[in-house]
Amino acid sequence: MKNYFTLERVTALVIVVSCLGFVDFAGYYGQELIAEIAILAIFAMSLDLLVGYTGLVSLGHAAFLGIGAYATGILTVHMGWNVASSMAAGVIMAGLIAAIIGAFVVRLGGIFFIMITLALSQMFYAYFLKNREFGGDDGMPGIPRLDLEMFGLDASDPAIFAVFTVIVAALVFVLLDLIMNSPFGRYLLAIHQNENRMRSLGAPIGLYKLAIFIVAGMVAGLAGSMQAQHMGFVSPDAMFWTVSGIVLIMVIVGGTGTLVGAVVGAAVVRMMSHELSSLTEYWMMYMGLFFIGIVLFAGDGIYGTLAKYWHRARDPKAPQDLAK
Amino acid sequence: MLKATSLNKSFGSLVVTDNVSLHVPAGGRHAVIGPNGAGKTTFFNLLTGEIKANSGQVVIDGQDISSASPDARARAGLGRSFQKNNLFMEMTVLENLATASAVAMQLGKIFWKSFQTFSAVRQAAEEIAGLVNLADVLKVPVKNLSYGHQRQLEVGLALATRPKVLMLDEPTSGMSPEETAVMLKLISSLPRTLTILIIEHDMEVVFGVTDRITVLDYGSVLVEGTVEEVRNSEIVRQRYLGEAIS
Amino acid sequence: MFTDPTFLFIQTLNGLQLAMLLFLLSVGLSVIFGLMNFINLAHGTLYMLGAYFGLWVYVNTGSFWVALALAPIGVMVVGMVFYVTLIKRLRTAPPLKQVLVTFGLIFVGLDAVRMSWGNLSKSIPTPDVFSQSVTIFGEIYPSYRLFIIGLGVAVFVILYFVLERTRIGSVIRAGVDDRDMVSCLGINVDLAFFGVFCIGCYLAGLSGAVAGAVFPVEPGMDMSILILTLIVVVVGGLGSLKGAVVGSLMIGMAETFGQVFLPQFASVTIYALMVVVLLVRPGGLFPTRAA
Repeated sequence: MKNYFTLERVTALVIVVSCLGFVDFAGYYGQELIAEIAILAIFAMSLDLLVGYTGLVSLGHAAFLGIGAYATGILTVHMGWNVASSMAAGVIMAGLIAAIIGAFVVRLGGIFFIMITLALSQMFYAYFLKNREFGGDDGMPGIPRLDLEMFGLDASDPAIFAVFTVIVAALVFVLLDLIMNSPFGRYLLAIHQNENRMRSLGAPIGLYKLAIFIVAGMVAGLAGSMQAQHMGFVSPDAMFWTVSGIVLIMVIVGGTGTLVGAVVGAAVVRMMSHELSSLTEYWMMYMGLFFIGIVLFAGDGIYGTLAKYWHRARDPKAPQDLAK
Repeated sequence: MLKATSLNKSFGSLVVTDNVSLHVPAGGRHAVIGPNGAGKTTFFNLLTGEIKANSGQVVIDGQDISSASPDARARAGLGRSFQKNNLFMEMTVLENLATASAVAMQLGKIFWKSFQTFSAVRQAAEEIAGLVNLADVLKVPVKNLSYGHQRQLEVGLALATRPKVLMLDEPTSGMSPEETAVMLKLISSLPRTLTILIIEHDMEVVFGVTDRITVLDYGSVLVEGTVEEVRNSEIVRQRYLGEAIS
Repeated sequence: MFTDPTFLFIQTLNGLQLAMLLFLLSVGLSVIFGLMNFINLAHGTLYMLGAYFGLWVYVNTGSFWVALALAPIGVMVVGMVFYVTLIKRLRTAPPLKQVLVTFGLIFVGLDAVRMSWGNLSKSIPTPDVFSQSVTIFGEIYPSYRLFIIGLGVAVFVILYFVLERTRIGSVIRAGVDDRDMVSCLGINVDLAFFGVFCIGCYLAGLSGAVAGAVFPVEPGMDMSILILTLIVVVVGGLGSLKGAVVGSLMIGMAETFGQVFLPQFASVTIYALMVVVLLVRPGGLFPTRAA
């Protein structure tokens, strides 16, 4: 009965191994790309916890990315903390703010949830845009990377940093995979499918939504902290609505409700936007059209659709689109 | 076991539940009947907390739950089914029952262990499936189930919460006569220790499975008594049963 | 200066002016939600299009009034195309899908505008009639802004009359209260939806064209107004004319006075207001149904 080698886990393993294998040959540009995708994958997985697993569509998830990034930036540059503690602080800070915001948005749900997350994230954007102390719209440069000297490694080497981000992304995957397959994760899936029934069975659904909102905020904060280290820089743009928008596009393009879907979406959208932006200044338009197409014609996303065919091919008699 | 005292509810000037009281002893089988629009489902929702009463008291097994939330009332022992199927449509029968059993066991705080490893959950789910005659379709996704089976699962989910009081909201609604017969047999086969409160608009259905009946009309209690008393009540005959029995 | 009554009066006028623009946007967004249960996140995009269409007509005809007349119609046509090609086929899909599609359209609209008119900030000159300022209590005030206030009031009066006093208005109100009921009344629901959607788009375009003479016409104006509009409907309550009016006034005033009195916290004032309203009344001030 117990199947540890699910399609999702195997796919994740293949992705991680091929990324690590690729780092060596990738060259500077490829290594930067891998690091970027790994960070975005962490970010997208965190959003998928809300969108795909729990059915809470947030259009303001970039706020937590930004909070993680700014916390790391402010603590290292202004307060002289070491990077490791600033990372932890960024994750905790994002979690705290998620708790405050979550405490009242999870009660609302539905369309209110979408509107308010969008509005509140713009509040954080506006705050950092106006705040001269943290660089205003110029942002904040000079953020150091985590010190890996204890392993005899130099994090400023792009190859090393790329491997580091892939390993962190893999650890995040393992952790979230564990959480989503637990009874807690099952509650979330059930809340997504039928909130009303879950409540009448005796589950305090508000608390579970709040809990996952906090977890998602913390993981996004981790992604933000990593991004600040990667770029050595953070600006209010990190929390602009388009960032929330693009990460939602990633999750939906890859396929909601599976962590690997979010990873695939992050990789595809990141590479697509890179290719498109080298061709045209107006790449976001094509991205928007592509996104609309996926929403209209491939609701399961890339990974979701492929997984469906795979399961169908393996067992044609099995009823289609079974819940996992 | 379940005691409701003077429940009142009005929406604006419209009184939908007017001073309704009810007492079901442990192991009792009680029906609430009345024509459509008599306020049966509202009364049900007042008991389960889905609608907040303006005044009145609800006590289950000595515990006052008058101001508790629906989920807290469920944890206190009120397990309900719905008139319209209200299931986890993307899951299989087994997954539905396992989810409900996990909620009954309050496992939701556990985030570090795989759900699949909880054999007690699976056992409980299989046991409930047996009770509601779904043991043969455990692996079938709910959306592929027949309507009658879905109605059985509806009762199964309520049972899976291990309620002190099982509340069934028109369990046979929309069913064919054959399916209704199956459902009635299922209800009468439930352990006699279980307290059951059942809503119906069809009187015939409840005669066989209950021992006391409350008749609601325009939101207030018309008559309350044993099946015989209600059957023979003049006022019930006049107001409601007249056409139903003949 | 903060307690100077003239100054306060001028700021109140500024607040009213913003409130009227927000009203033109939020009323459409809100009533469309009430009827069709979806939020058009591209509503701000329609506003931006209204401004650019206005600019374009103005540049080609030299007349502000022609621009004001044609731009909203142009936006409405865009809205119609959008309705027929996308929204209509999504009528039976979950509301989320519709919201996501409109979200994708924001990206498309933004770049379409940048492509057609570039990134630079532009503006529509105010018409000659309103080029003079008027003197109110000894303060000079641009008369065009009074025009905006007047326009907002006029639209409100018309909408109020249509919604409360006409048959089509009662159909719409009934549809907001109970969507299923209207279809039982033998009314062509699709046509009613389409009509309301078109009017919502028209008003968004009108709002944009009018605003183009006060605020800079630039890419990104869509999002800043969308956020304000969303806050308006959240505060006012979805689906009601009253909510749109009260929400617009509150947010218009809070934003204007916030900028003046609490410049450091200006960006946060309206959010704080929203949070307070939601804590007290989770469905907004005048919800039509439980959210």
